[in-house]
Amino acid sequence: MSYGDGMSTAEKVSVRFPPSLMREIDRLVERGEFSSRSEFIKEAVRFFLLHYESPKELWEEYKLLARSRKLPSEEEIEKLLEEVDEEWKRSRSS
Amino acid sequence: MEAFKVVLDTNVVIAAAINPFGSSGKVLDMIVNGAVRSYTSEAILEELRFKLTSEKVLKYLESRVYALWIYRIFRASSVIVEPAEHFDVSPDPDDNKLFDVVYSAKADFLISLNKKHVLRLRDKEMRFSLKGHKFLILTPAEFIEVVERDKNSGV
Repeated sequence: MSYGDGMSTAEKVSVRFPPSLMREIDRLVERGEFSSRSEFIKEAVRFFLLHYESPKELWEEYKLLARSRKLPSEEEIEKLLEEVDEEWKRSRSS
Repeated sequence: MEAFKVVLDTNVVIAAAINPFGSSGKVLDMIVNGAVRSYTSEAILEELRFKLTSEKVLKYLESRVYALWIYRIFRASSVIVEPAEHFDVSPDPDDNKLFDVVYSAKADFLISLNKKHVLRLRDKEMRFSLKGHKFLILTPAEFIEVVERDKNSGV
């Protein structure tokens, strides 16, 4: 049997995913966008490598993009952090 | 000289994402550029991912893609540890995972914006001790001051 995508020489890797990420992957697989978890992961890795930038490059690009943003006050950020923390705690208890 | 070892509370990374030019953003600058070494854990990263992709935060970041950029920048610039010891030091159990990483990495600083619990745990000299390991608990602005002082004293 021949595999068009080099599958005969494919390496098997075992990866552990956090449950929240797994749920998101399964949702797309159930929707039929990907035939399996494996298919999704391969597609995601291809996409990532195609668009790869180092963390340093990404951070510099992010800062450039943020220059045009209206930045909130320290107080507003503080309030937001509290609200998001409450959201996180609710998600853990539910 | 060895780079300072730091552990960041998730609130510092989120504040950096919202305002990359504030003191939290400057701390992330130091981490990304390798001036200080960040340590974290999967437990902290899980909380960070949840919070960064919260609708409330996305409103400021404009796009979920940018939230995931920040997640990746922080994750890839940090050393991920698996703490062997777990502590129960904060009235908010959610904070304990930060202390687990500090002890595991023998970090010099825990940087947080949590005025309700984390910052309240330090003594008058901003110190805290875990089984004999002493470290400072600072806000991002206080940490920047310490780094500046250290830089000047080394000249």
